[in-house]
Amino acid sequence: MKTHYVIYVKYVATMIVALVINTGCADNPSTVVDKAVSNEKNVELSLTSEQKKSHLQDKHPSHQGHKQSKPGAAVSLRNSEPLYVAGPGVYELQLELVSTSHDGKMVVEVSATDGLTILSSSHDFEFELRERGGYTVPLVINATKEGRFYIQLNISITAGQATSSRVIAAIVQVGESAVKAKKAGVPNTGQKGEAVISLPAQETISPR
Amino acid sequence: MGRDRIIMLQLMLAWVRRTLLLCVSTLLLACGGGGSSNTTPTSSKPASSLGSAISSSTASSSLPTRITLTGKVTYDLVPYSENQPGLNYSATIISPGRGLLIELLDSDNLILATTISDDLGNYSFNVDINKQVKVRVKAQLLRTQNPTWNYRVTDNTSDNSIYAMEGSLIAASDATAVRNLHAASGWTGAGYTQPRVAAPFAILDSVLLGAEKVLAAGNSTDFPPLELRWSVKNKAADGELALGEIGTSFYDGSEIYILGDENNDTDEYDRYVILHEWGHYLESAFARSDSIGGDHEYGDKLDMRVAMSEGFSNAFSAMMLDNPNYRDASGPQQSNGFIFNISRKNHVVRGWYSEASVQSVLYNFYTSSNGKLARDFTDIFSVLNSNAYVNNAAMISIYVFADALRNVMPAQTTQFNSLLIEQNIETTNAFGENESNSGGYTGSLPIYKTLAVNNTSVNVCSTNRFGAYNKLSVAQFMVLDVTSSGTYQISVQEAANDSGDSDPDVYLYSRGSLVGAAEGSQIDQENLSRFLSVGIYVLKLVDNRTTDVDNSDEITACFDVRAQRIN
Repeated sequence: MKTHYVIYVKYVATMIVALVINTGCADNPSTVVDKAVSNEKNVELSLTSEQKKSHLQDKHPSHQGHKQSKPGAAVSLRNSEPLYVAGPGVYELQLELVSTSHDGKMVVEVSATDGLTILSSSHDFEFELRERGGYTVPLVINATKEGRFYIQLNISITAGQATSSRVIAAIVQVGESAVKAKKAGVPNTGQKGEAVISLPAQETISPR
Repeated sequence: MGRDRIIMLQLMLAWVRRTLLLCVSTLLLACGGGGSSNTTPTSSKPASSLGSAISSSTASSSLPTRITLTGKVTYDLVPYSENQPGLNYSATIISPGRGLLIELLDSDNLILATTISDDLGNYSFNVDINKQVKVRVKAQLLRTQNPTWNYRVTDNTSDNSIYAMEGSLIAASDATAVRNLHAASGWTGAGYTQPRVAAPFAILDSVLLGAEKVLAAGNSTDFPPLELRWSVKNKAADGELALGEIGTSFYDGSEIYILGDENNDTDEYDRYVILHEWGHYLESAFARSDSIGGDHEYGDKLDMRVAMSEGFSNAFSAMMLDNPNYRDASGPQQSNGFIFNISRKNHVVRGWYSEASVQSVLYNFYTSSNGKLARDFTDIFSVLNSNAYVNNAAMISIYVFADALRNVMPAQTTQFNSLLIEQNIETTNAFGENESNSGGYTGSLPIYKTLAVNNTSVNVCSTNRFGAYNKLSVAQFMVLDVTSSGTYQISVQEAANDSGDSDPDVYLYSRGSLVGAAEGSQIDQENLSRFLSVGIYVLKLVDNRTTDVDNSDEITACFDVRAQRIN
């Protein structure tokens, strides 16, 4: 039996990354900006040491500790690192996707979690795939409150008769960037100190 | 492990207690039957007030103080739609909760007894009559006889607490003696508006399906304990695991993480996905995988180690479900997703670097009845579990599987070879000697270059032309045959055709285990010195730039590699 390493080695190569942020987009005629949006704020992108470290772990030589993931469409974000924005407000950003597929068509449907509103007129994008292609999804978002939110990309790639799909989420941290694990409910500590999340059963009680 | 042992001990004690009670009851009945007078119930426990009242009213000589509490555990299993990729909630099946750890708790949440549900989800406990008790079903598959297993579904967003469902606290009596517990999906027509109680049990039932088939395939070794971490917060963002930012469902060599994000991607009912990841666990537990993981898909040209592991895991999921149509639901209301046929042979990309080819070879071998029992996992498991596979000097690829199969079941060689040939894979040894399918890049052949120990250089090229990190020819492999122990030096220098500032790194393996690595930051060169005993080693070389998925430039860097004994 092999040793199971407990260390989780983040595999960043699976999620190539790049959130291309427009600063001063009002002066940039090449960017796609919803005209209804005003007072866009400059977005500050910063890497934490934890995020930088994750790149180094790509060099980990052992086969143990790597993410062996489920099959899915060959597409990823060029930059999967969180986008940090100072506070609530309207921001323009571009998500850049990369794919090793170079035939067929890629369809991207964009949505956002509570805390973010997509102001862009279009939420659906379509790309013809090409060799070593990068594919930009321009968005204008309104961050309505502080917190950690997500832009979700529902992606399908069709090449010939084959279709595969993948969901990718970009992290948007609005305000304080400190990452604190949130607790999902209050675990019950029963005998032996094992924490249990007790969910309600649909119970039928009857006589024998 | 300590907790598992305590649980097993508890189960044994519960069995002993039940057996003793049965013996005592039998003795009492025997005494009564023998005409003994003034027989009174014997119990070490004080009678409850309700028990006393009944006692006085019935004036029976065999008044029970214990009652058998029984029940059945079920959960909602949401199947796939017949003609579309997604889930079909309207066809939800009520399925038995099999092999689950069930606890009887008192009003203080103290565990009075434990048992395991049977194949129909049934359980039973003996309990003091009128005692306030409730039944709790843990999201835990536990098998205490050899080979043992222990699989738990926990919540990575809540300190890895284990899921459970529990019934209500009610006095045990004849009127409450049957307690059936059902885990509902939480789906109410258009979304999950109720707690998703069924999810952990659905995950475990897929795992049990796999474990039972591996058991039937002859495995006699304990299954290593495993946590499957699932949460409704587990989403497709790559970040903090404790926040549910798991990126995708994956196995990391230690745990399996599973997506749970409604309307985007949630995998608790995606049995193929669960079994795919459990297949990776199986490789790790009972076979060997040298995969470096990473994103992969049907049409990729992959590192052969990744192609083998992913192709096997895809095929494994189809074998366990006895259905070649791999499916993964996603999207709004889980109504989208994709399907591909594992048994398909006609692929655009075929070869030793294709997971599609590997899955096709393995699955079609599994279903074949040519000189073997069709759809019997025993054959494949015996190859994976063989010494020829686990301790092979070569890195794990389809060639190693074929080589081990020829050792383990030589009568199947011809048939297996024909499946390989259909996928444009050479029928050769574990090192893929004489392979002629380059995948469109001549530098990928031979698959292993021979590195002599006389300081003669061998030229190898690392490239990201098929993609970065885990794609074909990012890593190059060399065989180093050490015939005398000593300290050896391996030197790497970029060849004349400069590709810019390369960063070669080398890794030395013995039977898949890393025995040395050099990851220096020197430009265009690398050196590794290591004492090596007699044996066959595999040296892997990568230009670190080609592992970087952020790098959109095509890079091909060629290196002269030398090895020599220095003392």
